[in-house]
Amino acid sequence: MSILDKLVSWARSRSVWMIHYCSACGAVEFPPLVMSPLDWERYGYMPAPTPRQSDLYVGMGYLTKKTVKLFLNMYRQVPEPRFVAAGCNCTATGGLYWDSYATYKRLDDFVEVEGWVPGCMPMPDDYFSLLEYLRKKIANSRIETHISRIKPDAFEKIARYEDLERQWLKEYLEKVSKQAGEPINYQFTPSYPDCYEVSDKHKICKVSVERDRLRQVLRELKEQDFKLFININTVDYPDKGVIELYYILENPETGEQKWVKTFVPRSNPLVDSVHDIFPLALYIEREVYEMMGVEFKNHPSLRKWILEGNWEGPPPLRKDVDTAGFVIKTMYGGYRYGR
Amino acid sequence: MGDREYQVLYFGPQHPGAPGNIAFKLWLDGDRVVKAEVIPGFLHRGFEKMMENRTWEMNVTMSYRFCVEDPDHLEIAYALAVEDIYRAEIPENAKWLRMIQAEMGRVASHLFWSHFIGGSVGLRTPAYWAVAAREEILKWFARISGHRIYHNLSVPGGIRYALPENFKEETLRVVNFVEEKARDVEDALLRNSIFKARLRGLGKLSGEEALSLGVTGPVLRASGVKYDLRVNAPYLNYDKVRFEVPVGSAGDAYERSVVRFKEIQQSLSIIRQSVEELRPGEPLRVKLGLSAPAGEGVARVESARGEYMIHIISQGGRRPYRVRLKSMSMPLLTTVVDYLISKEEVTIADFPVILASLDPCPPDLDR
Repeated sequence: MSILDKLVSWARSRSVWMIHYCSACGAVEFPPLVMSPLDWERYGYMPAPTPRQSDLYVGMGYLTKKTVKLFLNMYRQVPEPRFVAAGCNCTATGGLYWDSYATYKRLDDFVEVEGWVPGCMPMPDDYFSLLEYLRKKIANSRIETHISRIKPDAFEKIARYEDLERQWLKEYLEKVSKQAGEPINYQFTPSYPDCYEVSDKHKICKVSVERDRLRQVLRELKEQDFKLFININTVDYPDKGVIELYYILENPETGEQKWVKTFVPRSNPLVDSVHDIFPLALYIEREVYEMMGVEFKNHPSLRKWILEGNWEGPPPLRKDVDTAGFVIKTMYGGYRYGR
Repeated sequence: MGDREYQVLYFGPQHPGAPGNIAFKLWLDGDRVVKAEVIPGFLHRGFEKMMENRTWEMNVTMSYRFCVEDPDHLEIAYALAVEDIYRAEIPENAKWLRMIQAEMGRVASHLFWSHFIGGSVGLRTPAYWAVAAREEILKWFARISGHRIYHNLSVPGGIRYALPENFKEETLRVVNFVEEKARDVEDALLRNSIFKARLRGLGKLSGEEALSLGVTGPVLRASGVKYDLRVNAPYLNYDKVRFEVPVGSAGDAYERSVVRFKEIQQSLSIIRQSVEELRPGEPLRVKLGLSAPAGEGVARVESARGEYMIHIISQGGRRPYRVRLKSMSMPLLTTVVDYLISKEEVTIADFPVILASLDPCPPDLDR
C-alpha cells in the first residue's frame, strides 16, 4: 500500500456511517451506544438517515421474511464500499425463534457478513468491540478485499421458500374441503344475559350467545357501559370441529370485563363483522382472519395484513397446521438438530 | 380516493421518525397528510404459535420478547396467568419485588419515550439525559437478574433469584438518581417554548373518542378518563400502596407528555413504599409442578402503554393449548392514527411527533 492508500483507508475507518434502520429488538441497546454513556461519534460513527449516504448495515436481531426482502432492496442502494455486520444470536442461528414460520435463520444466507456480535441481547460494549474490529480491519487492508456482497442466489432462495408455502396452502385447502362434510361434536348452550362463568379475582363475567345474535348482544352491552373493545380471542378445536371466539369488552368505570363467547364450525367459519360498533374490531378481525382463517361478513377490507410478505401458507394458528414441522422440513433438511 | 389526485409516500420502516420497524403509506396533499395506512408485519414472529410448542418454563423467555421497551409487565403477566392455572399463591415478598420490577420497567419505558419525543422535535440534549438515567435502571436490573433488557426475573411461582446484598440501599440510590434526572428532563422538555409550540393542540382526543377507539393507558388518561387497572382491578399488592393516577384534560400531545412525567414520579413513590415492605431472607418462590392442571389462566396488568391481557388455555400436560396475547399498541397505531388524520390538519412534519406522543411499540402489534 502506498502512503496515499493508507491515508485513504485511515480516513475511511474513521468515518463509518450506519443505516439508521432499527430492524429488530437488538436496536434497543443502540441508544446507550450512540448517546450516553458510550457516545460512538467520537470514533466518527454516525447513523445516516438514507442508504445512499451510509456504509454499514447492522442486522439487529431476528430477520423476518418481510424485513429481509426490504433490507436486500435497500442494500442495493448503498454505494460501495459497504459492510454488513450481524448483531445478536438470531441473525446467526435463528436463535430463540428457530421454529418460527416467519423468520429466516441466517443473515449470511443472503449477504456476506463482515463481523458477528453474539449475545441476547449483546451489551452496548459488545457492539462497541464490533466497531473497533471493523475500524482496524478497514484501516489495515485494501478496501476491495471486504465489500459485503449480496449472495447471487439470495432472491431465488426467497422465491423457493414462498413456493413451498404456497404448495402447502394448496394441500391444506384440499384437505379442508374433504373434511367439510364431517359433523361437529360440540355442546353449546347460550346463556346470555346470565354469566355461565364468573371470576371475581379478575372481574370477568363470561356469557355465551349464538353467532346470529352476536351483533345485537354486543350492541346491548355497549349501551350498558361496556364501551371499551379489548380483543377477540380465538381457540381452535379440530376434534370438535369448531372454532370458539371470545369478544372481550370492558367497562372503563369499574374495570369489569364481559367475555362474549360464540363459535363457528370449522367447515364454515363465517361470522358477522362488528367493526361499525367498535372501530378497533376492523383491525382485530383482520388479524383473526389471517391467523385463524375465520371470515367476517361485511368487513370492508378482509385481507392479509401482518402476514403479508411473511407467510404464504395456511392460517398458522389453526391446530392442525404444524408450522414447526414445516420449518424443520424446509429449513433444516428434516433434521431437527441440523441447525 | 384515487391515487392520482394525491402524492403517495412511504413513511418508514427505514426512517428516523418512524417509531420502530413499521411503515405507513401516506397520501399527501401538499404537505398535509390526508390518509395514512399502517403496514405492519416487519416484526412478526408468531409468538402465539411458538408458545404452543414450548413447555411452561421455556415460555417464560418467550412471554416478554414482543415489546422490547417494556418487557417487565409482559413477563409478570405471564407468570400471573400460569399461577392462575396452577391455583398457586406466591409469597408476599415476591409480590412486592414484582411491583418494584414492574414500576422500574415503567420508568425505564417512559424515559426511553422522552428520548423519542425529544428527538422528534429536535431537542436532543434532554434525550441524552433520559438515556443516561435509563442506563442506571438497566444496571440495577443487571445487578439483580444478570440481564439489562430481558430479565427472566418473574417466573411462575415467584422470583427466580435471591436478592443481592444491599438491595434496599442500592434501589433507593437508583430511585433518587432517576428522580433527579427525570425532573431535569421534564423541565428541559415541558418548559421549552419550541416543545410547547409544537405539541400543544396537536393530536387531540376527547375522553369519549379515546374510549370508542379502544385506547387505554396514558393516552386515555391524558384525555381525562381516570382509568388505571392498578386501581380499578388491582393485581399484586397495588391495593396496599398509596399513589395517585395522573389525569390530564386537554388530551393533546403535550398533555400526554405531562401525564407520563407525572407517572414516573408516582412509580418511584410506589417503589419507595414497596422496598420498605420487602423482608430480606424470607422465601421468594414456591415450586410448581412440571405439568399443569387443565384450566384457564388470565392476567390483566397495566403496562406502560395501556392494558395488557394474556389468556392461556391448558388441557393439562407440559405445554399450553392456546395462548392469546393482547396488543397494547394496536389501537394507537391503527384507529387513533386514522381518526386524528381524518379530524385534524396533520402535516408531514407533525406526523412523527404525533406518533411519538402516542408511544406505540410496533413489535407488540406484530407479535
